[in-house]
Amino acid sequence: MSAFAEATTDSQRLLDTIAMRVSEVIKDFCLVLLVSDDGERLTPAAVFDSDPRVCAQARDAFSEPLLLRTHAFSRGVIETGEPFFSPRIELEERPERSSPGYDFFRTCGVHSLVVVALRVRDRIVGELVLARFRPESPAYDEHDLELAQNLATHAALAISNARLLADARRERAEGKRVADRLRSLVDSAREFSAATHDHDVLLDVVARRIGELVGDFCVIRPVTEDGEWIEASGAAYHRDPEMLAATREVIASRRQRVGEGISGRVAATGQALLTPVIEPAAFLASGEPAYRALTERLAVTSAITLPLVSRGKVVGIVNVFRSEPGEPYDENDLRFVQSIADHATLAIANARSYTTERAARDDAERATKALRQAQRRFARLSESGIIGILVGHVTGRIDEANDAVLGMLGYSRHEILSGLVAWRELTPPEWRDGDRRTLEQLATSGVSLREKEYIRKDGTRVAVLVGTAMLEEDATASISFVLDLTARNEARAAVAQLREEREAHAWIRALLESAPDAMVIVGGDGAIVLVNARVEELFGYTRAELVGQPIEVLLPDRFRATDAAKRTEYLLAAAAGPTDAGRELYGRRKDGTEFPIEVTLAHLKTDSGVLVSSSIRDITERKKADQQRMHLAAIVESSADAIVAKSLDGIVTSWNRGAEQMFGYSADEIVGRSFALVLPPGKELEESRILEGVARGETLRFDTVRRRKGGRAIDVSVTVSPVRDAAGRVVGISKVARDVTERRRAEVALARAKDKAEAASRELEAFSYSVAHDLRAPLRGMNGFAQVLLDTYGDKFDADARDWLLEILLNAKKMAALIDALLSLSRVTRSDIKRETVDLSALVRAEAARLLATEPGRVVEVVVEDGLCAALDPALGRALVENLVGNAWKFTSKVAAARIELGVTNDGGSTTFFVRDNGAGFDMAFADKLFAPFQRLHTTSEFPGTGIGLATVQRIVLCHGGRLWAEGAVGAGATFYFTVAARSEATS
Amino acid sequence: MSKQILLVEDNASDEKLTILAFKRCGVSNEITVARDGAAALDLLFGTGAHAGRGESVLPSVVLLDLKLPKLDGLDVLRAIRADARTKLLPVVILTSSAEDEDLIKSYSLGANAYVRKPVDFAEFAKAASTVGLFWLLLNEPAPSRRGNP
Repeated sequence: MSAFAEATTDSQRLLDTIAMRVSEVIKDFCLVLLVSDDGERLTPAAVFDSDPRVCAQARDAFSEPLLLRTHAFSRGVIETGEPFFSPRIELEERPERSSPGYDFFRTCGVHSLVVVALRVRDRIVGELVLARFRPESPAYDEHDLELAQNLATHAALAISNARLLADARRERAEGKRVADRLRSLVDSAREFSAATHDHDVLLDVVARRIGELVGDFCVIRPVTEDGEWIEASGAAYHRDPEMLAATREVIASRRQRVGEGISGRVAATGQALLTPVIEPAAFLASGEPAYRALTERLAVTSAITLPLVSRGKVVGIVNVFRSEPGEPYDENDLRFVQSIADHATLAIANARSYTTERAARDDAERATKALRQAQRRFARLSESGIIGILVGHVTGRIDEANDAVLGMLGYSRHEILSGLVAWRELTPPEWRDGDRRTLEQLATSGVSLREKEYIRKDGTRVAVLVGTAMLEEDATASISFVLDLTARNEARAAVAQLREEREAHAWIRALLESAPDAMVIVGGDGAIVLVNARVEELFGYTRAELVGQPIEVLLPDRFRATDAAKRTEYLLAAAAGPTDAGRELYGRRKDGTEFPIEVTLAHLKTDSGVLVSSSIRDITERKKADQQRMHLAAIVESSADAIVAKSLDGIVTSWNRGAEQMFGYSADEIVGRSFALVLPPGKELEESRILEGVARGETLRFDTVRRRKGGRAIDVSVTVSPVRDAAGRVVGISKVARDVTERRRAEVALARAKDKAEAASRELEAFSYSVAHDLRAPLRGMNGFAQVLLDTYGDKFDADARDWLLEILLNAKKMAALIDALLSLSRVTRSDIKRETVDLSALVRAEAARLLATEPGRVVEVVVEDGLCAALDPALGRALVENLVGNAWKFTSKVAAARIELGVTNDGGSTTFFVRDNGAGFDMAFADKLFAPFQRLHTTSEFPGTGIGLATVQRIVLCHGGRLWAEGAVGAGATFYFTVAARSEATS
Repeated sequence: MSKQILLVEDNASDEKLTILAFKRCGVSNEITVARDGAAALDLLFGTGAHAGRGESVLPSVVLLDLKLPKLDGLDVLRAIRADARTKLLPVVILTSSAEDEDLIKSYSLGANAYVRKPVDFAEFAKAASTVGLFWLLLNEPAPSRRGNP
């Protein structure tokens, strides 16, 4: 048997295995035929014989489906489910019965034949044909037949499972679950097979399997052999041992009559009952009083009640209950339990077959017994009130109606039996056509079954299932059983609704989890019902910690309301209005820290009351950003510069106070209008160029002219930059403009001043030039004529007159010297400096030599360091050396051993040249006067001079970016230091 | 061939002193004086007041001041050097300017010498005589000079 169970995953292999196993066990030949979908054919599915040649012949003979109506004995088996048993058979050659199959059996000399149905529950899916043709094989006996039937049941189940699997593979969504369950089924089948011989143990195994696989608890009770009672014994399973014990106690307390209560009814009808949703109150009321306490404890919410059917007979009842929170059972669960139950049934039947006597083989006795049973059953059925019974007459009269029918229709027995109500009139007009067809059907087949409606006495309708049979003893009367379908229809609707709700639940859950915000769903009592993952993240609680807690655990203490009404009011207010600063809402994390939140509330009206869904958003970042934005906005607003935002087509989108002041337009006046408003005539092209440039992503800086409100032009310095969105696309223009009218005015003034200065400078140059020429000419005249007078008439003047003439000559020369000095000073400032490397050492030596030539009598020691060079303008460099050396020469004129020195010191990294003498020196107190023009520290009679020389030196040094200073003491000589800046410094 | 000297000088004192200085050092050549630049050119080219006088009376040397009424000295020099007749005429600039610019311009326009008039008469006389002697007595005139075949 487990060979079938293992082969369930491959249909053909399974069928082959079945044929082979059956052939091995019962001998000789085995053929498996399956009923086609339309029920009219038998399709050969597998053959087996120990002789491969016979197999091959059989395959040829049964290559085509067989038409059921032409195969008499097969038809009998398929239609009735009863086996065809012919221990001795001789097939004659009869042309009218000839078919490849028939001919095969005939030619190979079949002498014994058994055909048994393949039955799954009450459905016949095919048949097994067993044949013996070997001369040495004995005829089949009863034992063989029973064995064949037993094997056929196993085989049928295996085939059914294989089909289930095939179905499951098609149903992708359910695939895995069903596959898992099928594996469980295979396991169960194996387990049951192993436990076959111990009836009680087997039931326990089955109960446990169902309880574990489907949940939550399972009870299996056998039905007595006579089919009247559900026994007060059996198996039960519940995870909780205490519950299990209580359940066992209740089961043992009394046996249940078939037809009474839910289980009783299922046992009576043989139909499984799925009750997805059980209202605890209704369940308690309808159940047996003895079960109430237990039912209450178990808190049953969903149930499956299932008959164990063996060969068309209910042998037990399986109850499966949901006693813990969980999803209601559905059709899948029902099918699954049924599959397990089928295996279990087989096992139970097997086990029982060892213990039940075989006496019932007597057909007559069995028939009598059956009749008695049927009568009793009918009587009980009628009395039980579960099912309505009606006996009607063709005339329309109702002869008999039980309490159930009366209850269903709302009539009293008297009203019905008095003939006041005809059964035809009970049927609404639209169902009457159907009634006619039913009558026709009754006339031909004797039975009918249909769903319809009846009109109740109060005019409302009731959905019913009516099964009718003609009474055999009286062809004018019929008996109908009437089943109130209201409950069933309601259950169907409930299942549909439940499914819808479950889908909606799944949706909501998925929605909730995928929401970016923390979602908290609160019940009417303020307790948290549901939270999503974001809540855990945000508040630091786990779901388990929150569910059932008051919503206040998520709020700081100061927000905690004392009663639900206040809380709701508060939450609503918080959600409705814009939160002003004083009423901002804060959340509180598990660790006590607070953070600003924004709450959006929504009401959910559900069957179980009003729920409030609050979506909570952490706005810490946003608040920070808001603050930052406000800061920035304040900066923009307070800026004296105009800060303007424009769209890419030049429409002003923002306008700060600086812009209002600069352009004279208020933001209200200009926002939404074109920026062209502030463009002076003729600047339109400039604006369009700006727009194009910025659109390309360029930042532009330029000075231009804009027009204030009222027309006055203003000079502005403008920076225009693109504004980009997060993706980097240019979406707008920002413009910062500064009013540079004042600056421009200053620039103009400066330029004018410069022009003036330059003009003055040019004038000065002209002046200097004329000084050079025109002041010297009269001097020359004075000097010249005085000289001529002296030369020509000198002997005619006395000594005084000659002295005076000499004074004229001397003064004229002095003035000429002054003029020359002034000219050279002015030349320093006027000339452009062209730097070259000037050899100072050489210049000093040359100047000293020149001076020595003018005064050959002087004895001066000239000490010059070799190779001292500086970057100087050559002409000015010469003037510098001439003045410094000339100065030293002059002031050493009264020293016996005069000494003039040129050297260099490296003072702090910069080269400092010096010219030192050991002459008259000077008082350091007057050091600042040394370099001022016309300032002299000695009288002309001591040392002649113009007072211009050192001023000229200073000017030259300054012009070269250097520094000049002097050290000295009276009678101890003087040292003049000077530096010359590097080229770059000087030119800057 | 009389060795004439053309003195272009607007300052009367300087004119007298220059003539005195030449005399002092024994230069007895005839000295013609032009008192502005235009008059100097008229004299040289026989134009204006001197029209029709003929071309043969070119001086041996021109002593030219720079600062002159009408045409200044540099313009006169430019005109002298621009004309084929006077292109090689010796011109000595005699001026009070000590400006480098004047000196450079004068030489670049073709002056033969540049003498700064000293205030001191003795020096002036020395300078004038040196220049005068050189150009009048020692210097050989250019051979191709027109008007002196």
